Amino acid sequence: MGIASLGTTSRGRTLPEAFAGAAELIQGIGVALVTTVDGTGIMHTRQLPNINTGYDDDLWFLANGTSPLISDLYNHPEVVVTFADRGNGRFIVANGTGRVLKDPARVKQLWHPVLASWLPGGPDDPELALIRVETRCVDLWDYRSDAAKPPAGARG
Amino acid sequence: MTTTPSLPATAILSVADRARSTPKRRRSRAATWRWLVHNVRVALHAGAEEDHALHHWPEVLRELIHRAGVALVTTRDGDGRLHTQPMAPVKREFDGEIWFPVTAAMPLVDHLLGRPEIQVTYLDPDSSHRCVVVDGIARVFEAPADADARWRDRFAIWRSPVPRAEGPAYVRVDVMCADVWE
Repeated sequence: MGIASLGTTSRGRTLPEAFAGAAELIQGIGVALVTTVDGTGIMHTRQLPNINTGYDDDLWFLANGTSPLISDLYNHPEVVVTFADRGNGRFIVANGTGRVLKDPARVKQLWHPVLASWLPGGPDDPELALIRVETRCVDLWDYRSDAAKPPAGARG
Repeated sequence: MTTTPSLPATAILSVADRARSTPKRRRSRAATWRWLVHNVRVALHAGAEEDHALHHWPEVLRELIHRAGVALVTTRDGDGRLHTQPMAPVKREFDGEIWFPVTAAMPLVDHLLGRPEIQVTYLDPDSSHRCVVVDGIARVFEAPADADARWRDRFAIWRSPVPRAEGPAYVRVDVMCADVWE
């Protein structure tokens, strides 16, 4: 048992070897954790349905345009997205900038029937907001790993 | 049980003032349950630190925290950027405090000394979408010098022994509110 940092990458770079299974990990995850900061500096973590099907420098999310998440992003676009593979103890933590976009064509392309329970208005809901997270730096963490490497943080 | 190093009264007051100036979080519709610890602020202000242990934490919250071996810890650095990393809390009965073994060299400690607000997310290992999000105020304590055996044991989570020189320390989170998400 232990916590280990398996690797870090940043936007535009070729993925390190450790990220080989990252696409499958992201694809297999139903809900992502999205953390933002509101206008008073308080952090908020919410669960959003995951519509990303692989590893990319941009992550996409659909959310209700009236939710506090959207106003948080307008005030302070800094965002952290965490994909947690609970069964295997793997975590992908992506830091980046969240932009709220209006792009009905893209929404239709990203829409999946499973989203209907989260967003009952459907893909044509005028309140629907499209979020693009432009990642800056992405960490891959492992819990329960036998890797003898201490986490990046512990090395200072 | 973990020993709590004593803090000067001024430090306690400054934490309480910060907590008092923090506006109440908006209630989110998706949160199934949420608990606000009203008495933490009062207890801290009065210097009665242990009072909030008396708060009745709902069983569902304590049970989930107990089962989740790992927690995601989110802090903000000096530039206001968010940082999230998995951490292993000290195994203990949940009483409104969460303890993490750290080293003084970790960036996380720097973040907390600048901005003590911390968010701790526990993921239910037996569910794909259940989690507890806990907000609190963090303080950093040096590991007691006479507790070598204990801290060695707890720091074993980092897989390699933490040398004394790196400054073994604890982060203590005083929980202010908790949301359970389904």
